[in-house]
Amino acid sequence: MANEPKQRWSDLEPYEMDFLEELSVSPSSAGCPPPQLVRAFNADVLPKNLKGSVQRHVEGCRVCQNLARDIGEVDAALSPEEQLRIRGHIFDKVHRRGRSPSRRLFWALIPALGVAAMIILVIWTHFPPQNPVRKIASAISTPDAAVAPATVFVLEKANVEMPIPLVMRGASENRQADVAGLIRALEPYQAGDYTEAIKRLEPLAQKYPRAAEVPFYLGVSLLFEGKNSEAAKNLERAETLSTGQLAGASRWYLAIANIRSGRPDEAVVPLQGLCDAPGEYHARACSGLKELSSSNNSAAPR
Amino acid sequence: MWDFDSIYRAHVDSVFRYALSLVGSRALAEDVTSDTFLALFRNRDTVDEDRLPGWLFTVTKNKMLDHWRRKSTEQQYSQKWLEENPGTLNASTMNIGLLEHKALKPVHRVCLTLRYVHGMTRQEIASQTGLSDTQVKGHLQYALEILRKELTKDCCGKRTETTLE
Repeated sequence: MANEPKQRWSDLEPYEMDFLEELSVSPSSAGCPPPQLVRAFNADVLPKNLKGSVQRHVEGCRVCQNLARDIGEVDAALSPEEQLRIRGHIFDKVHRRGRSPSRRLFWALIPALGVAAMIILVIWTHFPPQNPVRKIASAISTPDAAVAPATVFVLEKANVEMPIPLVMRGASENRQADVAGLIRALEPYQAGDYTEAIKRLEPLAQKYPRAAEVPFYLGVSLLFEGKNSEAAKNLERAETLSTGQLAGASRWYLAIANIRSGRPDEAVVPLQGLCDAPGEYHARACSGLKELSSSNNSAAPR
Repeated sequence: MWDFDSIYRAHVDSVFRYALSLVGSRALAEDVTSDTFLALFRNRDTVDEDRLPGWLFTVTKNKMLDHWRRKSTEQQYSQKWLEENPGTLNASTMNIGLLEHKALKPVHRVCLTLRYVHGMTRQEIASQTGLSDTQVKGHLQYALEILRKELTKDCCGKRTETTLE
């Protein structure tokens, strides 16, 4: 800018030099402040010590006055790339300063799901269906069927915590591209288009084999599509890769996937882990274990 | 509680444009916009939806003030150019009429001023304005062509015999 005039003007082409001559501007005569400083002055966002000096210049400089006026008309709208970068900045800042803020939003929604599940459980306990065993057995005996059993194992969508919700654990050379890919992949998930979400998440699972969130959301999407066995594989992977609360969520959905795949025995281990420890899924997991146990007892030959 | 993603989508463009109007640098406007939404995210439990988007604009302006305060104190930003250029640009020594020619549109004037007064490269102008490099080059060439024609057609005193090509 103006503080490096000689260097800046060195790239002018011959016909431009002619214009510069016509303009009677020479490197030594240019003393205008950088455009952003003039603009900040016009917007009244400069601290006092800067404001006075810029004001003295601008008031006597028609070039700066014109530029400040004109540049507002040139400002192009926010481009998709810029919007992507802004999202990337938010993601990076949340990620860099610790994952707790985004996690809080994600897990703040979980109690609501817990309450909903408990209400369903209470209703189910007080007003049991005619033949609950048949209902569970039906769910168990129809693998890969997208039928949600009316039990504690209600399939609820796992909420996405942020505009850029995934926390990458895999090494990556191009973080910006990663973020862009992840945003695109989760948009259909948020919109409830699980077919498209699966289509976008599957290549990411290959590309970032150490990112726990990719198989997690892929697994939940597959569950909603009724592809329970595939869902179980992905959720198992997510559970292995993740720690803390995401691991708990992975275990819960893994249990549902196992039940829906006709393998309720394999749901016991993840449920037991959740029931044994305090956490968001503790109550549901314990209820789920009881439900599984009672269905096994009822179905056992006398 | 309101949905952060919906609020973000609804207001990010207007917040960015507001930030841009405060500073004129798209890169800085991006930073401030992301900081503003980050602040919203962190205060999501206390900010009512009714206060949006006004709350966002206020935060944007405050963040911009903070930015210039930091610049001012940490780097002595403007003092540097003031000390190096004590005379500043004197309009009387410059043929400012060229830049104010009525045939030019604002986009032409901006490109000409940034290029020939501020000495920016075409890439820098593109970054500043959000135009593409090709657009900047096109606007500059077109503006010079307009001026060449106008100055040879009109009789503008001593500038009639321009050497512009």
